[in-house]
Amino acid sequence: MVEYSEKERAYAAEMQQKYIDKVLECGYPRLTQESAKEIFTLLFEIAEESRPLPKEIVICGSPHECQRLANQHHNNDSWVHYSPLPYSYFTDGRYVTEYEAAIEMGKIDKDDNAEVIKNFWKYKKCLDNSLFYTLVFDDIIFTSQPPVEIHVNDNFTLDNRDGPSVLFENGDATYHIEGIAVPEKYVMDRDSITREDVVKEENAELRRLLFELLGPDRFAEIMDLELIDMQYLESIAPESTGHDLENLANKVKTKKNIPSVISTIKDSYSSFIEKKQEVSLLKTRDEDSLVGEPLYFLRVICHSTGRLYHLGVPKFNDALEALAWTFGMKKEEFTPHIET
Amino acid sequence: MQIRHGDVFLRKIESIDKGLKKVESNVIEAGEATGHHHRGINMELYADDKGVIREVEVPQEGYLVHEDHYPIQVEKGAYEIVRQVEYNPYEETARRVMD
Repeated sequence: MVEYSEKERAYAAEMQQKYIDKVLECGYPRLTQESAKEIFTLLFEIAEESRPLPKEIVICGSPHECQRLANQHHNNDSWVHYSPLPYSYFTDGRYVTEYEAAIEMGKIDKDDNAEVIKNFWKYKKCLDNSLFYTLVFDDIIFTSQPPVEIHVNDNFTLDNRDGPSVLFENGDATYHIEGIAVPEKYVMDRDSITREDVVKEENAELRRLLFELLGPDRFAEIMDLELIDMQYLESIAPESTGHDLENLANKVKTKKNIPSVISTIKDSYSSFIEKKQEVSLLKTRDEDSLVGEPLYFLRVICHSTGRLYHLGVPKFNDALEALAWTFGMKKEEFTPHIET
Repeated sequence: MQIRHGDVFLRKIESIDKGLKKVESNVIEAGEATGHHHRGINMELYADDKGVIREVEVPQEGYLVHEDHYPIQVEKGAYEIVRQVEYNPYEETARRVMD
């Protein structure tokens, strides 16, 4: 276990950050035949490979292309799969940077670890020269150019809800949400997601994501639902719908000039009347294969926009009990006087 | 007195919890996805340690305002803020309704 002073830790962290920034900016050089040959010569040395370096190196535009060509190439009896994921830039790279910082700061005994350190610099050179997804056969290597775009969240987990998480120069891409690899249409074409897709999705994490991505409205729409209970909730609510409330909200963004703000609010007031709100409780006709029972939804109408919407709820028989639950209350406690 | 303003609910309480801290903003709950916020006009907002508004004090007459919900006049008093949650059956947990 290497011990660091605060200053040394800060230095190591800074090195890591620089590395991560470079990865995220996709600031790595494109592979050439020459640089690829150097990379694989070094890798074979590190691995103490007894076999000779394959004569042919095919540089592909993406890992996908590597796989396509490798599948066409020949039987899969003698291949080595190397650096399988874009993650390797983060995982390997972060360890490499940490190790580099430790060597630089004299935390690793250079004499005792001479061979390891020598191999380390070789591996570092491979990464710096854009070693990425690679399939090695006896007679041929398929290796991918580095990505041109990488999208991560604050935890440095691959994450993009609006496009590819990793994009390659030939247009191939991977899609991730919160680090979970998802099919392209989960990101790019959610409208095409069907009930079949949901039902067939056996991975609980992915089905959870589907539920979240589609939203309860769309989820409820594509599922086969039956009504369990419908009740009315009585309260005072706006008589009309459709005022320009956004304009009003913009005017009251700051607290300045309160009297004028109040008068603006009053101008936009709808008259309030006693209203009955329809609250419906529905469930899927079939059991969900992962949950082991039907899924329950509450269907309500917004008093202000008139919009119908759904909320996922646990198992209930009483629609108002379910609505009260969404506000953390029992049915008896839940008595809104005014609703908008 | 209970008031429902979309996914935010105000429930009258005796007085403001002394452990909460008064904040300057008028945003009771920010809509992260839409940028539409529940704002309290003429209200004092009180947050917990995490900066979540838990209670509000209305000294005279206050108003709740939002881009999608009609304004509501709120009478003088102290109120607890309750946020609507929904259930994700695959997590078996309740989570905050996102708007």
